[in-house]
Amino acid sequence: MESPRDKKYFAKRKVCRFCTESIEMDYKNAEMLSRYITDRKKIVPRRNSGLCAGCQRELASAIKRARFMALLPYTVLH
Amino acid sequence: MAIKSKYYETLYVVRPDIKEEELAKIQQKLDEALAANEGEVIRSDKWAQRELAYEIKDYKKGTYYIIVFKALPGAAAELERHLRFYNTDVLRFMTVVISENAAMREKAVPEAKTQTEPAEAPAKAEGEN
Repeated sequence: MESPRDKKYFAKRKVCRFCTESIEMDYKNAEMLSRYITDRKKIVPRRNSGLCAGCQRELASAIKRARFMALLPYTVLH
Repeated sequence: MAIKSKYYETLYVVRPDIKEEELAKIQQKLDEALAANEGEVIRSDKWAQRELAYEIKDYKKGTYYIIVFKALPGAAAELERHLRFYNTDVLRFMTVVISENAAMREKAVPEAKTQTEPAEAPAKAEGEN
């Protein structure tokens, strides 16, 4: 008998947008970065963002820089 | 090995109600700091006036200024020292090392801007208010 666990999912394969479209990671571009934060202003994890390891690291540091410069919020509680 | 010059980008936020002469004084100090350390300014202008994502010292808005320059690491430290000194007017500042390519792109931006500035400036002001 087939258990629900055996069910196979074919998720759409994500490709890193930053690599394919060669967008420059820039902490000043708050509009672009805000696509990669959740409703609660957390950084979207790699499994959801679909970025490659290197780009995700750059993204995280860009978001953190933007937060410091008050371009992006740290939380929704400000 | 000799220390190499690097390309830097400094973004700083001043409080929105700053007086023009105070701002001019700060900018003059920054220019002097770079000139004294053989820094080469590639771009220096107003980046944006925008709402802060959170309040800093009870200010909800801020004016962002950007300086892109090529200099020795000591010059960047000197620049930051001046920004720190004016911490009542300068709400935030950050210097990051950028690649030569990114710096050269910045060089192209101000030239393009000066040509379209008269048409662009009024439209921008309306959008922000």
